[in-house]
Amino acid sequence: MPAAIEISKLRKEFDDVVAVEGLDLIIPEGEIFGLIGPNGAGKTTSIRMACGLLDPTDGQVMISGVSVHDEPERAQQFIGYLSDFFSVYEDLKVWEYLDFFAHAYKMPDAEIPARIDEVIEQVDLEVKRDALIKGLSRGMKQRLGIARAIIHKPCVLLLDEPASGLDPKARLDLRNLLRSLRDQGSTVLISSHILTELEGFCTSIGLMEKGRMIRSGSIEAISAAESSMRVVRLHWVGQAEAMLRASLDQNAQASGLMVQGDHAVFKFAGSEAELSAVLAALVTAGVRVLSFGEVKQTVEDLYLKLSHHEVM
Amino acid sequence: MLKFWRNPLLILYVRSELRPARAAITAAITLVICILIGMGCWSADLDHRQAFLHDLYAWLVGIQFVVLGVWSAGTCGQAVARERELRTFDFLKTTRLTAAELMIGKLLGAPIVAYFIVVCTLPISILAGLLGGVAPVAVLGAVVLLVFFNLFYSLAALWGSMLVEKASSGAVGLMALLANLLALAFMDSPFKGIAAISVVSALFSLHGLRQFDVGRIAPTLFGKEVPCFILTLVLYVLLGAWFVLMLVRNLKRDLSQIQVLSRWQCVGLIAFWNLLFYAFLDTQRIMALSRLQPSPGSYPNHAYEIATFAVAWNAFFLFLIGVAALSPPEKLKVWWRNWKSGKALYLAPNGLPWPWLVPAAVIACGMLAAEALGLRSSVPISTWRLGFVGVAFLAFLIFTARDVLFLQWCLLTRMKHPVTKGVLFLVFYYSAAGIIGAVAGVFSDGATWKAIAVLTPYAWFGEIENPRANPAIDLTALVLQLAFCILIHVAIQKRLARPAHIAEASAA
Repeated sequence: MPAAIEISKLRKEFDDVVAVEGLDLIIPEGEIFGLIGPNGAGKTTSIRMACGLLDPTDGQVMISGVSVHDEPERAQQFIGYLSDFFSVYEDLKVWEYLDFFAHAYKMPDAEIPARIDEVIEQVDLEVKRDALIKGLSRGMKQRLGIARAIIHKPCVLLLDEPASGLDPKARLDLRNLLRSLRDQGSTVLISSHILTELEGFCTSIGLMEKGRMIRSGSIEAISAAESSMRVVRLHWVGQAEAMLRASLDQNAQASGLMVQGDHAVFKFAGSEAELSAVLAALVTAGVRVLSFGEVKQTVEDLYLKLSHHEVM
Repeated sequence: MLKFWRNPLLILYVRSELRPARAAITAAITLVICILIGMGCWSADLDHRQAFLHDLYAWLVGIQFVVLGVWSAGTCGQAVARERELRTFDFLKTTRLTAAELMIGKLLGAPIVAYFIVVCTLPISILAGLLGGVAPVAVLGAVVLLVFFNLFYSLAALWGSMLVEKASSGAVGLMALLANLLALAFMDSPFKGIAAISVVSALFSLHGLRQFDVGRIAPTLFGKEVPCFILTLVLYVLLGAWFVLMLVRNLKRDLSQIQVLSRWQCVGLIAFWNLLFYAFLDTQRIMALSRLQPSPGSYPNHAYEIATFAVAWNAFFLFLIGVAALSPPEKLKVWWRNWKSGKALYLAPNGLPWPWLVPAAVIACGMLAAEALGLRSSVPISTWRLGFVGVAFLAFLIFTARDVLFLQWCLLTRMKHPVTKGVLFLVFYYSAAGIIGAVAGVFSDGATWKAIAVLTPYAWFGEIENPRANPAIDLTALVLQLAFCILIHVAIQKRLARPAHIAEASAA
């Protein structure tokens, strides 16, 4: 599968400060890649370089195989960009705003009216189609910003903290919209320093700190690489603590059992097959297991584990 | 390239600024103002219908130029900076619109209301002019001039807006209009063509208003007299082309990465200005007056005076191209690292700008020598005092290189608005040098000249006109300034050699 975004040896200096240093990143098509890190980690600078707003000091960015800096106008047809600031032209109507950007992206004239209706429906602004933008709420302006970013059907979306300043409902809508765009084949690079914002939504993540990418890949792969120990949680009914302790004591791969009422957590160093054998042993020993499963690490857990703990 | 009437930015401005109700109100107000002006003119010329219409035409044309000039310069002067402030410019830059398309959209769209007002008044002014006895050619010429005048000053203002951070600073675009009037100061000089840059001279000559001095300007181009109106249009096109070049080169760049012109373009600009200089020079006048000693009037007429003026002209433009060629700090650092590791030349496009002043000065000096040689049958070469002129060029080159290096150093510091502050520091320096010279004159007669000669290049003007054999002072001045150049160069090197450090993250 060809890479939708290919960043190699990207470096950016401002005055005496290196904002981004040696950034290498390949994001395949159809991914939702979360770029996480504290403020000042270099996320925004990286995204601004990726969409051609900033020239890199060194390195290059390829979007769908086109160099953003060598062929900027050609590359822009593949890029949809949204920043944390929902700046819009207040004196325009919603459809006029989208019509302007559709023409600015040089879409074929015949396709534009239908596409405007399509994206207006997609961002749920049908009732505001003919309203002036100055009358829209912040959430609506943000949705209009997304509509602008996708009007030309870009295959790559570069979103810089798109959910900042939004209420929970608007954030949920944004996540659903991005998921549906991913389902339609778009690749999304989204940055945030609010880790819960990206939870359960990104297919892969990259952790940035002090201008460097400290780790990137799928959440599962990073979790597996970072920890050889699985954390397992189980829940039962009836009296089972003694049986549980006896059973786990016999298993050398299990450790750190902590029991609290009718549920417990322990660490396990074996494979998935070995873990299923533990469950079978517990059931055989008479523990009436209600639930049994590995506790997946959250993005936040990973970040705290991998970062130098300067933030959060 | 999109057709200009299909430019999305132009359509955006039409939609947002000229909604039907607003357009109708604007048109109605414009019509009322025209009627009021018409009534005013009629009351002054009750019995002379033609005089009344002529007056109405004159008023309306004047108003069209003022409204369009001020409004276009004002709106275009804020067009880019305003979008930067509102943070909408990033979204424009990430579209597929090229810099040229953005420029055209802004140029035609930002002053759309002013265009509309003028379009509303045009039928009335044209009709009044034709019925008022104004020659149809003059009426048509005024409309053409209005279009060229507006495009040129809008380009100048848009260029200014591209270079500033805040929209309020963009109002400096209005200063371009002031320059328009200042050009009239050249109307009695041997460079009458410079005065043609003023729209006033073109308008007056177009309408045959010879009762005014400004209506009698007869500029020459390569020794041949050309109509002021034509020359004005040619100048607007030529100078406008330079603004277009700078806009297209930089409009889609981040403010911190703007480099107004490339190094070769800077050298080309000097050649262009010198070509204009000698194209405008009224050689007949020089030939006639160079035999007189001293030359009459307050303008340069004698060959050596022309040479002095050529030095001043080039000193000004050398400084301007030095500023235009300043390297953005980031690019300069990359060049520095590459140069130190042998991967880039000292004369690389992103290196220090000062070496590029040398070919520019050589071209300027060479063109003056060529002019002197070309006129040698009428004006003896010795009257140009080319030897002194050559040394004066060298002196100005050294001083300009010093000033440009200083500005480049300012750009590498963390000060806000480094170029503006650097220029202000230079103004302060030259003012201080002038005051030191004046104070020195209190103690000794020759001290003023010596102080000025050591601290500034201006004493060289006096050297050309009234050569004084004082090589010790001249040499001291040049050596001192070269030493300053080396010092600033070392300071720049130290700045560039400072290692960059990794950004510190802040708490989320």
